[in-house]
Amino acid sequence: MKEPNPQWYTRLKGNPHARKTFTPEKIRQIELLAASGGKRQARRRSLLLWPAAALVSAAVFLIFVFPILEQQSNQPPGGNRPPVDHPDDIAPPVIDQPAGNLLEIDFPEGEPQGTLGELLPFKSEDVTEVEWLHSAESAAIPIPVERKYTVINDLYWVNLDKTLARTEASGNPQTIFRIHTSNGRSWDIPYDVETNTYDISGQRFYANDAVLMMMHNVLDLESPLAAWDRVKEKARLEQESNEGGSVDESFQYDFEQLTVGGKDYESWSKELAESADAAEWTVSYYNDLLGEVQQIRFVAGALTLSLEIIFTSEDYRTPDGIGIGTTREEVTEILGPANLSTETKWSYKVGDYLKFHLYFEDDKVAYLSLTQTM
Amino acid sequence: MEHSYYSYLTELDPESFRRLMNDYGQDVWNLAFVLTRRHELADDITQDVFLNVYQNITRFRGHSSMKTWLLSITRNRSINVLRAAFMRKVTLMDIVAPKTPVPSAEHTAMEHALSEEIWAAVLKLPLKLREVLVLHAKYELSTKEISELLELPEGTVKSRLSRARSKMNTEWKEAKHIEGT
Repeated sequence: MKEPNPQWYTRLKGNPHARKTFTPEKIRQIELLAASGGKRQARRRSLLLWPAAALVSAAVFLIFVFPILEQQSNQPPGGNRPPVDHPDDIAPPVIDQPAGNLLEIDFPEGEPQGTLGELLPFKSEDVTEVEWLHSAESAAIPIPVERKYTVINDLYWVNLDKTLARTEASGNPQTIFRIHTSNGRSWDIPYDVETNTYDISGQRFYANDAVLMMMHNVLDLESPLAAWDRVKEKARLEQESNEGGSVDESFQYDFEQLTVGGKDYESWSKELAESADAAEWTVSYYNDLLGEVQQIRFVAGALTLSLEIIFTSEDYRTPDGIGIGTTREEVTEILGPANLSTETKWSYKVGDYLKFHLYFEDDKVAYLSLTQTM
Repeated sequence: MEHSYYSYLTELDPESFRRLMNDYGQDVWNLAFVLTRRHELADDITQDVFLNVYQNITRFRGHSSMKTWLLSITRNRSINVLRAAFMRKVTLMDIVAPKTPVPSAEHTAMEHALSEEIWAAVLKLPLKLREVLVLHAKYELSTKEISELLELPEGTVKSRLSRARSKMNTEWKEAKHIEGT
């Protein structure tokens, strides 16, 4: 029997906001863009800022991060993930920032509920900088400015109920996120990269996958996650700067042509789930899209992420032979143009969705990726 | 039929383009906002959707209504953006109304911003439940239409819709209880 609609359904007929949010001004802006050729406006950042940001990042890397990298050991994540060392010989960087206060949240009685953003003592728009450090006494290193919201965003959306980790910390030294706000206050939040959990007032909460991958990269762990994050982030920045323009919707590819080893995302997902016991390592994270804690797994060169499978081994190829090491020219010759492309990432449509992606390094395919719609 | 006007166009003249945005712009923006929970992303996505439609109007052949077609593009674009959203600026608007009985300044701001407090409960749902609920309740798509739009079996859509309603029944009752204390 058909379930009747609840009474509150009628309340959702209206708009989420009392005021009109799609204004005549926005219409006018779109009309101007359409008239000028339809090239999407780069709203967030000027293209000219990216070289400058890259230079700043490079300087930060050379001055602050590089000395630490040599202190890190080279092991994969998961149970064998290397501990985060406390290097003794790092020259303290000159950063004019106050020391942080350990973030303490007075959780209500019982199991924590709601989102952490409701309880944080600062607002996200007041955050001026995010740093990471090995301990409250060690040198603080800035998180690249274009990634500070990876941490802030995640902290705000920590679902206190669902992300509560019933696990102990790894026992290895933790990283600390230090968050500076415009009123001169600073807050320290311990984070354990091995378990991917924040320590807040004695309770542990899972971070999301973005924080995990970013920290593997920032800490320069010798792991597939760190390597993947470097390429993925590069592609994201290119896309953000609108280098690739909009998706060309005028064509799409055959389903079969864009499989890996003859299988699509669904088949791979099922197969990799069945072989989860063979995973070289796993690590948990909170999937904000699905609202549940899931695991990143690394099985036989395949990295299972949120709604995405990354193939990192030369063993995996499309039916036409595209795989790691295939050059750009060869890809173009075999497949033709991508529906969306930047220097690093080429994406292809299957049906209505971009479901197959190639990531390039040194003009050769470095990763194949299959994504799934929700 | 609402879509007959658009289904035979080979290009959008300025007048038709403006009409399209006037007719559906707010719907597109609302869906992008509900999916991403970010104002600036909703602005970006709406812009992308209409520029895309402007360039590709010939792809619309009236197999679905214009509204459904636009919602489908909006949903696809939103998911792609979310997938890439490793970091985004969180604005005050991202923080949905807290459950605390005593309204804070943020709470007050949110009350001014959201037309109905029920939207705060909707925005707290996981995305896969949120999108199904909103497409059904607000946009009045049938479960079959939603299954085609999301490329999911209709049974999955029904299951998600049932879970979304169940969660909303709980959340909404909780919110009303707190309001009444």
